Amino acid sequence: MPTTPTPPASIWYLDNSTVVLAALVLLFAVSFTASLWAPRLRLAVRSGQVLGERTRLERVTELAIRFLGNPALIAGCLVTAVLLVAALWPSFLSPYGPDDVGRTLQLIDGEVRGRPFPPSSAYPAGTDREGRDLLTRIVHGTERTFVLCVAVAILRLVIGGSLGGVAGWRGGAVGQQILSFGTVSSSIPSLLFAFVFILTIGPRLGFGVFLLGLGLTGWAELTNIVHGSVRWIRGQPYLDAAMALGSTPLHIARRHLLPNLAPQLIPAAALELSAVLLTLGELGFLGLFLGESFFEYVPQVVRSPNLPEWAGMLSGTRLSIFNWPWLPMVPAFAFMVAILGFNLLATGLRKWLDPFQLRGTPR
Amino acid sequence: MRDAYVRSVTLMLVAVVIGAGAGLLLGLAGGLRPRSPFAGLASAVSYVGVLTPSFLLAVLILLLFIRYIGPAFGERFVLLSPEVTVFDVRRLLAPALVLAVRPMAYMTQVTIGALQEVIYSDYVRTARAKGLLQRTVLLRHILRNIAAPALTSFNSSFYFSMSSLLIVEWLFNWGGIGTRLLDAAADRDAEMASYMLVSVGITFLIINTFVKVIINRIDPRVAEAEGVVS
Repeated sequence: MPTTPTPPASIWYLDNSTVVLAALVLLFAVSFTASLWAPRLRLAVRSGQVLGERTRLERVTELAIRFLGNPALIAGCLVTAVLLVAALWPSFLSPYGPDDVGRTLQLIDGEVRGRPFPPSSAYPAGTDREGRDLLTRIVHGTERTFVLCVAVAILRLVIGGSLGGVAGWRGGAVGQQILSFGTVSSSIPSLLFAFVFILTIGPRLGFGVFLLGLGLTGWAELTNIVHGSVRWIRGQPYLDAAMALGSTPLHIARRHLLPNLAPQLIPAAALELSAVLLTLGELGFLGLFLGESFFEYVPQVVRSPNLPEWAGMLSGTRLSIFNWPWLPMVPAFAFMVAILGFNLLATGLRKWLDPFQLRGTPR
Repeated sequence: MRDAYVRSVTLMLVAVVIGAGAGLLLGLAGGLRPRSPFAGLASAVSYVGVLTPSFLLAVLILLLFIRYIGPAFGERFVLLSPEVTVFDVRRLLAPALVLAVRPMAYMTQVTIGALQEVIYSDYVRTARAKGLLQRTVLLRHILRNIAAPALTSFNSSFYFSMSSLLIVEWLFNWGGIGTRLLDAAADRDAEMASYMLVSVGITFLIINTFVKVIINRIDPRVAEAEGVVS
């Protein structure tokens, strides 16, 4: 039911934006300084110590120093944390409810306006055509968008990881076949594949179609990564030793393969998340999104979908650029921030987990 | 259909050439002085530029044209007109800019990365030490050695712009392969869709081969590493 929302008395993060900004700037200043001084600090921490004989306190201190000296990781963690809060506890961040509709005519910045309302103090990011606050809907849509994204990323990891693992372990003709299959798969742009797949099977079927359409493409890079590292690990002496000792395959996978794959797979998973998000946004822009069961390619009926979801909010906004530019801009910026955040997370994690840095060699 | 093909290929080529050229210049400007603040700025901008979703870029550039560039020239650009039979060169600018950003950023990254190895190498130091002109060192020693990675990234740039072609053509109503492909997919017209896909694929292959041949001519080491003797 359309209810009349009262503009909230205060939204703490907007009221305290100066404090929040100052805290962020401080954090980054500390981080940059730490990144300049990290090698020396690390040396100071383990001065006089024999390699590998460090106490737990020293190891934790070193990890903390490396975390602080890694601005990309801090930024990525911040974005991920905000997204997690938005997904798990949306009402904490959003000023209104997701379906709250304002009055038809409102006084915005001393001017009587109709729907959609532009960004103003009452609506931090403007409203959609039905008069619902866009920021609120972004926050409430995080959960739906990200459940899909994470599911797709996991599917890609499973496909790419298992194929790459088999190709790397078996090698030979089977490995070559698998790798060339991956090359063929990666030669089709994933947007094209997902668009045709979802449109052919039917977007009305919902979650499963999107999961398969996005997940059955784009795994080839993971295959290559896993193949490369498994091949490398296979040639190492410790694996020969483990096999000579008669380790079971399960033990080898758990004790030798996974710990060596993790520093590469974890950043790759974060990268995959951002790639899925990008494809999802592009699909939504073209009018294909997970939501209620309607699809309009070049939407004739100009209305916004009822269920909040990022891609859905992006759909059908093509022609509103002329009059209401905030309609496509707000969800597009949300996508941008999330994609950037996940990429920073991946870059930071790669540096943080790098095994050659773990040994504490100053660069 | 031939018309659509010509339109799309023109758009992609213009975009990739603009993007790769600008990216090479930016990368050279940043990479030749890796400790300057400009280099940091160039890498940061290119990091963001590679990641910017094409729809956000398209919307931003369209807004720029509607709000500022159109009025400044006193005439309305026919940006989104469905009248696609008339080919107007001015319409090329906005979509080409959108498609050019990602190749530009990628090229900048690759160039800076390649320069990092080259400018501290022994042969460049020797060339400087024996007193060659800066220009000669740049043209003969540096540029020739970053040509292979730069040209390889030209191929990837083409792939990038191919994957955002759908979005850009649809938004700017370009009437090329991307738009036709979307129409064909929406109409379940498998024949049309496969024509379009195959034509894009063949174009990509031709350009790929062409660039690889050039790379082999410039830098025979690459061909030797791949086991191809040219």
